[in-house]
Amino acid sequence: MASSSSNLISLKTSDGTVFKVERALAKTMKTVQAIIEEADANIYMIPIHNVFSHHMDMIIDYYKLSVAGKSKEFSVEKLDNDELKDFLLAVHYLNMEDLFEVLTQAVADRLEKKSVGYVRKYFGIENDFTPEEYAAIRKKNDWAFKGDDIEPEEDEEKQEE
Amino acid sequence: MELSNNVAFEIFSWLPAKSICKLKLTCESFSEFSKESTFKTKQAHNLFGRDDTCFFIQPEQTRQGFEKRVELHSLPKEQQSSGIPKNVLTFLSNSACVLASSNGLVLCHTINNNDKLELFVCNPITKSWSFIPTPESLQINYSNFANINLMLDCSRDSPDDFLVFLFENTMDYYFSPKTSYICKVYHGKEGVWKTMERRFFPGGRNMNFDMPVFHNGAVHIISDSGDYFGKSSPFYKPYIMSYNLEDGTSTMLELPREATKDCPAVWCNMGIFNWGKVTSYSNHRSICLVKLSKSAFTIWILKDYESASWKKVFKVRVKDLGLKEEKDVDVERVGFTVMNGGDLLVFSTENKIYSCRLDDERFKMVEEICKHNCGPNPRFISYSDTLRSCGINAQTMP
Repeated sequence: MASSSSNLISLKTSDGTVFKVERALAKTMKTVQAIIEEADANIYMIPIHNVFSHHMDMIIDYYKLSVAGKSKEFSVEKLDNDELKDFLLAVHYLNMEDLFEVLTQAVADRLEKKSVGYVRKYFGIENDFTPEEYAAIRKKNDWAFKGDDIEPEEDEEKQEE
Repeated sequence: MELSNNVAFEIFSWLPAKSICKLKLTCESFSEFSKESTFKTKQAHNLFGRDDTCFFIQPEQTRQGFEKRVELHSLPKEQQSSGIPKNVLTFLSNSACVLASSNGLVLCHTINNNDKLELFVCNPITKSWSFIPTPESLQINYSNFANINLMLDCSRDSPDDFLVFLFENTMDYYFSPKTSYICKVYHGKEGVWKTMERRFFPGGRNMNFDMPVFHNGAVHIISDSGDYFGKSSPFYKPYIMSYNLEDGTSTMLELPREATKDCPAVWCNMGIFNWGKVTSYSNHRSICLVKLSKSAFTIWILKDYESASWKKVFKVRVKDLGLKEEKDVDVERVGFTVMNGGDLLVFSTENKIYSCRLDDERFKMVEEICKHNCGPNPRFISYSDTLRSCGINAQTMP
C-alpha cells in the first residue's frame, strides 16, 4: 500500500500493469501530482489512462538518464512515427514538461521533410480550404516546395478521400 | 486519439521556416500559426544555436559595386527544408550586399550607386525589414564597398533585439603609426547608435573585418598576412586582435607558430571561425584557425585562451581533395569558411562550391555542393531560416 510517508507511488497503466515509481518521478507528471494533491485520503493506486506499459518503460528510462545528467542520451529512434505519436500523446496527458519538449522536437524532426498529405494524415486533419484559398496559399509559398529531393506532392484537390 | 492543435503548435515551432511555410497548406488553423508573434518568437528561440542549413555567397567586397549578385545555397541534405523565397533573393541580389546573419536575421547595406548607403536588417522568410540609421561615417558615396566593417549579433534571450557593431576607421591626418577604430554599437530595440568609450587598436596590420569571431565577450579579428613589416616589428607575423565588448580593451592573441613560421614570406590565406556548438557548454566553444597555403588546408583550434595554445586538428592537401575541376585549382582564388562550429569546411573554387567534413581525420568526405558565379575569393555568410522578428519598426519588403 502506498502511504504518504512511502517513497513509492503506484501507477496503473491502461493495459493493467502496475508500476511502483519514486515519488520524485511522479512529481514530474503534473497530472498525477494533481490527483495526489486533490485526494483527501491516502491514494492507493492511480490509474493513468492513455498510457501503456511500454510508455512507462520509456518514461522510467528517461527519468533515470536525466537524474544521471545524461538526458541527451535518451533516444526514440527505434520508434516509428506512429509509435512516437502515441508516446507523445501519453506524455502530454501526463503533463511532463521536459519529456514533452524532447518528444515534440523528435516529431518535428520526423515531419520536417514530409509532404503536406502525410502531415495531414499524421494529425488526422482535413483540408478545410476552399480551392481558391488553397491555390492562393500555394502560390504564395511555392518556393517552399522547391528543393532537390522533395517528396512528390499528390495533387491534393483531386485526391481527397 | 489525435494530437490537438496546441500540440501541433509546439511541434511546428521546432520546424525550420521553409517547412512551416510548406505545411501552411495542411489546414486553416495550422496556416495561422506563423502569424502569431508568440509562435515566431518561440520558433526563433528553438532554432537558436542549431546548425545553419544554408549560406549566402557573394563576390568579394571590392567587386560588389559592379557585380551585383547574392546567391544562397543549402548544405547537402538540407535542400528540402531550407532556403528563402526566390523573389526575395532576387531583390537582395539586385539591390543589396549581405554583411552578416544571425538567428535568421540578415544584415545588409544597399548598393545603389547613386543613392546614399542604407543599412537594414531583414528576415527573408517573413519578408520584413527594418532600417538602421546610417552613421555619418558611412554616408559618403561609395564606389567600392570595402571598408564597411559591420557585424550582427542576435541573442537568444531578447527576441526583439539585435546588436549591430560598426568599426570606423579613424585615419588621423597627422601621421600616426597606430590606426584605431571607433566602435559603435546599434541596439535594435532602442534604435540608437552608442559609441564605445575605448577605441579598438588593431596594431599595425590591416585587419580582416569580414570574418569576426564573437567569443568570450570579445570580437576577434585576424590580420592579413602581407609582407610589409621588417622582422623586428611586433607586427611582423600575422596575429589576432580581440576587442572586449564590455570594457573596450584590445588584446593581441598569437597564432600558432607552425602556422606563421613561413609568413609573411610565403603566400597564405588565413581565416578564423567559431569552433564548437552554441548549445554545448561554454568551455567547449573556441576559435579555429584555417590556413590555406599553396598546397594544403590546415586547421588549428585554440585550446587555451589565456596562454594562446593551439592544437592542430586537421590537414588535407588540396590535391588529395579529389576535386573535379577543368583546370588546376588556383589556390589564391579560393574562398572558404567553417560552418556549424567545425562540422564542415566549405570552400569555393572559381566555379564550384565544395564541403569537406571535419569530424573524421581519416576519411575526408568531400562533396560538391553546387556551381556558383561569384568569382574569385567570394564571401560566405551562413544562414538558417527562422521567423525571428526584425524589431518594432519592421515593415514589409517590396
